[in-house]
Amino acid sequence: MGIQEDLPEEVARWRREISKGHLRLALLSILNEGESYGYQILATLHARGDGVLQPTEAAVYPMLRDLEKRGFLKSRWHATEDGVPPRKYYRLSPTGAKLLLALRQSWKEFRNGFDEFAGGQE
Amino acid sequence: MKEIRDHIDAITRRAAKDASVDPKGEPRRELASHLFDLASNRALGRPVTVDDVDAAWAELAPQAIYLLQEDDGQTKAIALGAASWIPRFAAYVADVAGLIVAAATIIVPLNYIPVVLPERGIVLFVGVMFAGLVFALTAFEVGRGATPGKLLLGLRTVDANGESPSWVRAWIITIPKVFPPLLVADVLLGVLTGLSARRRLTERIVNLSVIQVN
Repeated sequence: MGIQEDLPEEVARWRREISKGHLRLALLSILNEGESYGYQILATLHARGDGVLQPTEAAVYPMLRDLEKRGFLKSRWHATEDGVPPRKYYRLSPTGAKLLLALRQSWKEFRNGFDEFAGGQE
Repeated sequence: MKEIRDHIDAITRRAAKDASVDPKGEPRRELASHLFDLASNRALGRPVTVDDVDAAWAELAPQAIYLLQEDDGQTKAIALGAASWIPRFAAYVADVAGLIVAAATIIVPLNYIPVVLPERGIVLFVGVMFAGLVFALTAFEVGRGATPGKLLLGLRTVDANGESPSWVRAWIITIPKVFPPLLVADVLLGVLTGLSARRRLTERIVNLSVIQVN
């Protein structure tokens, strides 16, 4: 397989790596808009941002639990109707809100700095 | 609706047990909730049926052991929840049987073709043919996430993201299968050195797992 054929795969791999790193910021941003649960968060991630983030359940759920364990999110279980499994709703904690602000600032700095490598400002 | 919830509970409890995760814990409950949402999405507004749940589970199952993790998804988690050795051995036997049948299908008709090959040519031909068949098995692993034998037994080979392996990783785990003594050593070393008793050494090295999906 030549280099030309490898390029799309290489670009796809880079995008996956970039997406992984940005998932945390995206999750916190979505929860900043209001309480939400795993399935809904996943659907929002897929629907927004022109589909640049396409995480799987396997990436999102463990990250949500990790953020909660570290105090950036809080959660509650909400039982819906009879026979329907209850849902776990996540929301930002005050510390999570501060983290979101810090990550957003950091992202701006990173993006401005990295534009020099990526080919300049748009 | 109670039937649906009981069905989901049964599926997710089994998944949690397979993944060596507390079946009463929150990860299993979240998996159940997600499975119901997926099934509802399939039902498109009408009442959810058991078939909807089963179809949603078929989609979700390869990732289930990752959804059930407590941490942020690192290597050790996929050591839990791998398929047991019995279905894996059965899948291996099925693949070997398939290889033999495929080889015979190619070789036997050649006996009737009036071509005289030198001995070395025959050996080379058989070698190339087997290499081609092993390549085909690897291609199944990469393309479908499972060899034909694994597909028959409801097994899948997945990486840390729940996706099918790359070519390089698939080759690495396929090569020991060609030499049974090497395969036995691969299995034993995996069992003796691993956190879980269900991964071969080569699978641990390339970070793949064989999981049961149905």
